[in-house]
Amino acid sequence: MPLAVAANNMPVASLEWFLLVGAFLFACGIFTILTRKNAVSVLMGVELVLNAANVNLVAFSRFVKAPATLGPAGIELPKGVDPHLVYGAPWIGGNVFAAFVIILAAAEAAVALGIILGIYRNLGDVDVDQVTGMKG
Amino acid sequence: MAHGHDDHGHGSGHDAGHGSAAPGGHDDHGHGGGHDDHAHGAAAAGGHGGGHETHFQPAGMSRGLAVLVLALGVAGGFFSLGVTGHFDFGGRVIDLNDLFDTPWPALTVLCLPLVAAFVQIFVGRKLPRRGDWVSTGAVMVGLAISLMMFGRMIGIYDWQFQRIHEIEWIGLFTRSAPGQPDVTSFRIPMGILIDNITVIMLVVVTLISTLVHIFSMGYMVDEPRYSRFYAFLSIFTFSMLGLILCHNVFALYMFWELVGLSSYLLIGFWFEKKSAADAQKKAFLANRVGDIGMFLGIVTFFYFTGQITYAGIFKGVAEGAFSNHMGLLTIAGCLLFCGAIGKSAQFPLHVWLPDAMEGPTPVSALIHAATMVAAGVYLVTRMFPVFTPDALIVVAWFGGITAIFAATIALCANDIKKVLAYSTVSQLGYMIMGLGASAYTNGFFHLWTHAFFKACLFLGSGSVIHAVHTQDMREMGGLWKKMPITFGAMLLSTFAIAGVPGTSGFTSKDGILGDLLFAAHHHAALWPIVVFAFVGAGLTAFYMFRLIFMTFTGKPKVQEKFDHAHESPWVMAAPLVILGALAILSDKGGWFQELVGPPPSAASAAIRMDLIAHGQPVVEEAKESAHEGGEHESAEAHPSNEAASAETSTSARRHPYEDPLEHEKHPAHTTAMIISIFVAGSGIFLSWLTYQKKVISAPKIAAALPGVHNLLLNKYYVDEFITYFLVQPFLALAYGCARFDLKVIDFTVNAWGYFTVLCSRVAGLFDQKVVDGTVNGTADVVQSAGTALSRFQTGRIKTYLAWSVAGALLLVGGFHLVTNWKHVFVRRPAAVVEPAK
Repeated sequence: MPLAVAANNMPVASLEWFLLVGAFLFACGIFTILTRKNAVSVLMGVELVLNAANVNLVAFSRFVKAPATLGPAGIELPKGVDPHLVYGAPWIGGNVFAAFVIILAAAEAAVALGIILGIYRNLGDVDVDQVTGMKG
Repeated sequence: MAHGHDDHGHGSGHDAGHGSAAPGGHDDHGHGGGHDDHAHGAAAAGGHGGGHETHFQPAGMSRGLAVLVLALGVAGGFFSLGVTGHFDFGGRVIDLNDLFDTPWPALTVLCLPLVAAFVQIFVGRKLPRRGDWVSTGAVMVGLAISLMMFGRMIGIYDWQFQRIHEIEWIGLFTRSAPGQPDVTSFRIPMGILIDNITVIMLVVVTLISTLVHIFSMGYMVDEPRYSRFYAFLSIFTFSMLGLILCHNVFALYMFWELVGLSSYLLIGFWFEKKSAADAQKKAFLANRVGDIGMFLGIVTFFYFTGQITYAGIFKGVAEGAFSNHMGLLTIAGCLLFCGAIGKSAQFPLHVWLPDAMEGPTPVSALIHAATMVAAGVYLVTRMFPVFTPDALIVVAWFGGITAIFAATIALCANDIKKVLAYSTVSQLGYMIMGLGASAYTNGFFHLWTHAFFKACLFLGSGSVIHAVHTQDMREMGGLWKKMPITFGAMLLSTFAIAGVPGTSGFTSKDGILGDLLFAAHHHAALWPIVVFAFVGAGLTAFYMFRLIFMTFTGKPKVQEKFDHAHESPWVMAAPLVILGALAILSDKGGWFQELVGPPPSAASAAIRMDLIAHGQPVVEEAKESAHEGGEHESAEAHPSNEAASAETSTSARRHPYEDPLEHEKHPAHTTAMIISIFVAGSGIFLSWLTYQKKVISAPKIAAALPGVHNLLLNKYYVDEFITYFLVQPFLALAYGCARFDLKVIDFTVNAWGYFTVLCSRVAGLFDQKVVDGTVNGTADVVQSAGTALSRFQTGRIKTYLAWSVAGALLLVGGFHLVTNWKHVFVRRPAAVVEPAK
């Protein structure tokens, strides 16, 4: 996959490379979740999946620009209206979601660890295969 | 009165009052004065004390006599008021022509008994004296009005007099073009017709009804259902008055059935007795047979003329509605006559009348002697113009056969009421026979006179029965000393019915016989009838005097009953006296023949032509003027009204009927009179020899002719004949029908039921197997699907995740395939780039 070439002839990584990295991370995360028995390892796999999403978010934020004249939901702004005044600072984009995800991941890790502790307390183990209370 | 009355043939020996105005003859018993109603009321009130007397008491009798004279005075007062035509009421002159020119007096007469009947039915028992005064008062008011009408009729003295008051009862419209008024295409009027016949019948009905009401106060006083009896009497009076007053055949039919109903109710008044209950059913069914024929006749006339009023039917017939179907006109007349056969107890259907004697005796007097059974005669009189000559011959034959037939049965009857019943049948036969022989006036005249003397005879027999508590004449005898008033009244009536000269019965019967003889001269088919009539007259005299001799003279046969016998209380005696007097007086004055002329419309002109070789156009003219007169006066009654009231002397505008054939009839009447006097005299003489002198022995004659005696004793086996040839086949038919019902219809119904059950079973199976199976199957499918799918719910989070990922991959991959399948599966040819030229 060719690297993009910037105006100053320096090779620059294109969007696909970032998505490939994200997909790889996602695959690793899923693989970890499905193969590990240890709940903590599974949690780590979940972190990988989350971060794969973060990579994508940041990459899309960097490479995909919305048309300047379109407002939210694609509504065309009236002429003479500065989109900056509508959307705020132009550097705040999809990448902000990555920050949210990181924060949520931290909170989720705390909750998940609590759950794992609960499981450990109830079952004396952290093997997720043992947890079949939702069996139909 | 252009012609002398002595030429009439009838009434020549007793023409008191003939020379002067006809009313004079009636004032004889009416000049007592006493015009106020209070006297009348006092009479009624005074009567209450006497109702419970059980023995003949001179004091009570003299008081009764005083009340009787007072009542006669009041009645005469009403009558003479009517004759005068107006009276001064405190400065206000009241014009009595309004009696006819407005419908209200007639409607009052009609409706008061109905009101009384309702009062009696609902509150009768709670009223003082159990309410007999309500019914009696109602009919007394009717009598007062009727007497005024009667007087006014005598005052007007016009044989063509006619008033019609009608309303539109049913009118059906045909819608015409928009904006145009609708056309009435079909209308049925309802109304009343007042002419001389109506007024005469009104007097007959109200007078006899009043007397019977009064008589019943004594006769029925011990009855537990006393007020019901009066209610029934009132219903009957209402129905009979309606029958008389209505002006169309539909209403006639309705009232005809109503009198049948009241007859049914009253015959079966003592329904605890099985014989009474049977008799009432028999009467009703026998009448029903006749009424079906009558209804068909009415429908036929309606079909051909489109009219239901008498005048309309006569007009239609006269204008030739039947001109292409003269045979049908005869048949229609005969069908109409079927009603009269039933109601007037003519030969085949007479069987109900003797049995109807199971009813209380006052009822027999009112309904089964004087009024209701005369309804058939009235019907023939009313509808006379539509009877063709052939139909009239049929009518005459039925009447003639009935007259002699019933008279012979009466010879052997021992029950006093049965004798009178068969005598009634026989006399009705005379009336019918007279009408059939075109003795229109005299046939109707016999109705008038017969009503009084037969009511008297029946009430007299009631009085006798009341005294000796038996109806068997063989247990009576010598009663005249104990019951002088009853004896006197009954004797007078017996003279009348036997045809002793000077009595009313002589005049009317002789009129019939004379007309019959005259008609037979021109119509050979009537000769046997003439023989029947004269023989019947002799038999009538014989059996009626047999009744008198067996009951009142000779030695008492059962001493015990004789000792208990007593004269009836005056509430019972007074009606007898009045009726006995009328038996002698009711023909006097000659007004009847002058006021009841030939039929008002003379479609029967043809009949008279047929009977009379040289018919005269008089009748034709009479028809025209009568018809137009009626139309004119009903439309605008006032001109004639004013004319009448302007003239205080009514003689100036008298229009008596003058029979154009009088001179031709005269020899016939003379002959008939001579023969009938001879026949009646010999009948009385033989009766006297047999039952008084015992010179002739009745048992020996009976023993000599056992066949005849048995035949008469068993009433010619007519009842048995009807039983074996009509009732039994009918019952067999009914049983057959019942068997058919049970076997076939019930079988069909049951089979249908089984079939339905079977269908239900099948439907139930379908419901259980198919419908329920579907529902349960659905549930089973859902359950097994749930069971199958629950295997995916392992509870392991990793399984879920794996499925999710797989699903996501499937979705993404599938979506990619669906949207880009061409790129995936179809290899596009590489674009050929044209080299630039």
